[in-house]
Amino acid sequence: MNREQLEQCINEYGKDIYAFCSQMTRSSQEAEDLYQDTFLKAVEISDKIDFENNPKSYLVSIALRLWKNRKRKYAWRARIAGTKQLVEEGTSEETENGRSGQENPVEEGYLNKELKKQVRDAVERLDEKYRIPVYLYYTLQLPIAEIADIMKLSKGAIKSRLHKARNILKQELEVVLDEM
Amino acid sequence: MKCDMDQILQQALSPEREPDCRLNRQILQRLEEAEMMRKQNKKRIPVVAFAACATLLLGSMGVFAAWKYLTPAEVAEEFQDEGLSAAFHGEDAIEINETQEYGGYRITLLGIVSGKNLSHYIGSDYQGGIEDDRSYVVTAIENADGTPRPMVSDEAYGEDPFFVSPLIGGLNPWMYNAITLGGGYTEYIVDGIQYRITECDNVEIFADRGLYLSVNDGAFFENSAYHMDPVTGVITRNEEYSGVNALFRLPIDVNKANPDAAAAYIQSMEAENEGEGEPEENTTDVIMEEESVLMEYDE
Repeated sequence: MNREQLEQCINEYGKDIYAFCSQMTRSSQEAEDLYQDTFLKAVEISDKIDFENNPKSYLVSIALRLWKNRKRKYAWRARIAGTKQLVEEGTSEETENGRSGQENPVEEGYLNKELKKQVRDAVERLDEKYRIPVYLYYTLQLPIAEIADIMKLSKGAIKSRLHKARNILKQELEVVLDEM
Repeated sequence: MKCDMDQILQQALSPEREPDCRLNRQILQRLEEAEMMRKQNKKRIPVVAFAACATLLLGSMGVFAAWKYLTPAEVAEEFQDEGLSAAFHGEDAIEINETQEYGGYRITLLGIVSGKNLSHYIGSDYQGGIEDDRSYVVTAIENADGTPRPMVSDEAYGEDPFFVSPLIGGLNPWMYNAITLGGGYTEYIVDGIQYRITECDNVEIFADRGLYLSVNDGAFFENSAYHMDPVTGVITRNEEYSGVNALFRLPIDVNKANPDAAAAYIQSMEAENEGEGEPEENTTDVIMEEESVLMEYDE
């Protein structure tokens, strides 16, 4: 992959990959590191990536594998300096390293900020085996077959996990959703 | 409700943040730097220098190591830890470059530095206290047959883990090792060599007891790999151990020892260990995959 191809990859998939990295790491510093390492790794193995056939899945696979390896690596201690928690959209908190992401003007739709936060918090509390397919399906809008490929599970297992995740979230958010 | 929940999740989880241009420029910059580094590393072992090293006696492995490996300061730079890199350039740093080979692996102790606020990053203990007085040890691990170590992102990464730990003469290694000394590590693969920075509470206070660095196979300290003489406190390798059990002396100046601080540390460790009950029963999270309900998700 040459520089131009890498730039094109970043332009097309950078936002989705960054969103996925942010959700998996829950820390702006780690999200940035994971995001960068994902693309650098993609360059390393670019001969194995079919750019005609949805490279987004490959990039997500790379990010997921890197994140899992990092979790193991940092199992003894969590590094806290140099990392800042992701700020809520619309707040003015600046990090030492500057803002890690730009915000898009968001049309609220019928979900207000507070409800969005509660939904996201509830998703973050899900067990990893449910949380990952939820992010892949709803954030990255990947089809079931690709999610199954990435997670190396059957399509039935993915559907089952999404169903279970929805049920858990429905229970957790019952009170909040009833107020809508 | 299903459709509402779908819509709710889609709205709540849609990407709202974008990586900024600075981040993307850094990716391109790191790509260029990585390519330059690879060229530089190859130049670090020019043919003439390699031939010169090959004529040295076997006992000169340290000289070969100096040519072949990144320095501790360079390893710290790989992790973008400018503070630690500067510390390894300072006069308190000890460059060691000693290699041992066991079980098909070549382990090189590159160097150590200790002190307060050295690293760009600050750790915390599980009670939220800042850990600022630390020892940092840099090691390099290679496959003895010359094949490259797996990259962090490879499937094979982690299949043959290593435990790197300072040990203290006279103190049971099972109780005083990198984990119990508030340790952690970060590692990186460069040119097939696995570089690791292991950090823990500053061990210089124990300098008068004899300090060691152990490297054993496995993810935790392997008690059967080492002996400690109960009378002298000297720690040695178990020659009968079939795996990897390298053991290095850490040549730290005994004048840096602080017996009062050491005694206080041991006391707090013993107090922490007193009254520990039975380990909690492990709970296994069993989620059956055979749920028969298949939902009508669009594929």
